Amino acid sequence: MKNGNAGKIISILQLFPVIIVWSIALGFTTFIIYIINLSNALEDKPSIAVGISLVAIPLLWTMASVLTYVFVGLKRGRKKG
Amino acid sequence: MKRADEHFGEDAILFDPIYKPGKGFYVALSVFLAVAGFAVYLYIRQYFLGLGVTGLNRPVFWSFYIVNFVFFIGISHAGTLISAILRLSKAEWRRPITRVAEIITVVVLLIGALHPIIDMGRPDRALNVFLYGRYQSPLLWDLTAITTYLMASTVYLYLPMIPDIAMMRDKGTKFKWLYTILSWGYEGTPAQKHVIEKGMTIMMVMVVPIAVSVHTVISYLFAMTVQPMWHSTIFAPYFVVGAIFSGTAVLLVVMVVLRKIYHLETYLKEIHFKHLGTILLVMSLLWGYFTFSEYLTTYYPQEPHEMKVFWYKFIGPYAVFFWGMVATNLVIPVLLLSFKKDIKGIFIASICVSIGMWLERLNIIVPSLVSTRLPYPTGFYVPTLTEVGIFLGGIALFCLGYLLFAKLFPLITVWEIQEGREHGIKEVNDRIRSYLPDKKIDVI
Repeated sequence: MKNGNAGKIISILQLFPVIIVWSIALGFTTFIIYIINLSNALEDKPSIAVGISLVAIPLLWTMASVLTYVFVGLKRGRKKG
Repeated sequence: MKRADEHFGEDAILFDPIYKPGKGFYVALSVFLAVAGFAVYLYIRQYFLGLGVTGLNRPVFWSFYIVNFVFFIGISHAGTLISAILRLSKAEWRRPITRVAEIITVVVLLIGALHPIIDMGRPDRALNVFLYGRYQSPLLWDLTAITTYLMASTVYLYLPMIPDIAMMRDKGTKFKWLYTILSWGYEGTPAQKHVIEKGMTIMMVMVVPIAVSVHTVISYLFAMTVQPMWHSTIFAPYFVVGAIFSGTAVLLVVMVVLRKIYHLETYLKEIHFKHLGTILLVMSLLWGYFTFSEYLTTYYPQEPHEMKVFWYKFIGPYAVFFWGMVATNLVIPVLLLSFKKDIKGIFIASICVSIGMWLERLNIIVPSLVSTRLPYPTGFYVPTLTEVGIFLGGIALFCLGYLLFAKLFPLITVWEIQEGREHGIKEVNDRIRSYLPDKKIDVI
């Protein structure tokens, strides 16, 4: 019972790096979208923000996906039994 | 409980900093903590008294903190970029140095990124970047590039650490809970190895352009303005070359120190220093070429504002720093790396380059602000104890970060060394065969 609980806590803590990386990726995406909206509202030029978003957002999402892929892959690739 | 020697076999020495830290570890920890603590005190004092405690003045609005920012971010190029290029090109000599390099990147990026906030005087104003940021400002390009690079470097450092963390988890000594969490259930099955290799390959490919973009964008902080001697089209490649140059130098310094204090002579061999020394020599010559090109194109048109800055550096108050930079970045390293290519010579050259590249950042930033295009009288800048202390604190934080990492994780990628012994030699043999004409030739 005690081991089962410890196992659950460890599994939750193991998710932390993945959660942090996804939070950064999603946070930055939200920030860039907010900046583009702000520049539209202020009748500023959003072109640079759009340009940078086209590079930065896919990069951040790819990195978060790679980490998730490794996390899931390691769990699935464990020895049976 | 097994002893480290029994559990880790012939690579047990790599785990000595973790299991047998010795008295030196605690002495070093105390010294670095004291210096970092003093820097924190100076910063708190600056926070309450304002930027008046620094040497910043009108028109020198940027100086020591921004010099250190560019310097630390530049050093970060050593790690991830060099490691990724060596892994991608399957350079077999990379195995003992990849992690040593990658740690530098993550630690100095964190320290470097703090400096613009320190420079603001009021750290709460950093929030304005998020609330009212405009992507027309290169400052925001910087924020994006550095965040992306920090994230990429951390993931790239972490993935190859997983098998080593699992080894320590299986040894079952102190911090087992930490290693169990961080090892993500790694058991070394072929499927798990494949997943890690695939993840690392994707990161390797991604990290190279991201690393180049970071210093490109940092150069734009200067080049996008019309300040004399900042508004230059070659600033981006000049900064990237300078970053790789300073990063390689700091990597070599770190390698020499680690080799000495952790007795890693059998891992960090003379051949590793010679290969990196060759890279340092090439970067020194490239840096010289860019510097010559930059200053010649400034001198030739004789534009009055630019010439004022030019002479300020050449024969004015900054001449000692300018010529010091030329000596430490070009003359001494080229002579040493050409004629005295042993570890001692490479170490001295690397120390010179580390100092020289800091001077280069100082030479780029301060003189251009001293003589602006605006109708200010020519300014002057002298750093105060606060700025010097915070700089030393930054260096102490770097050493502290490295020391704490060494206390928790092996500094050399153990599984990569083992893989090199088991498969690397055969793989290299096969690869050399594949380069040669299709004839039966025995390659030793």
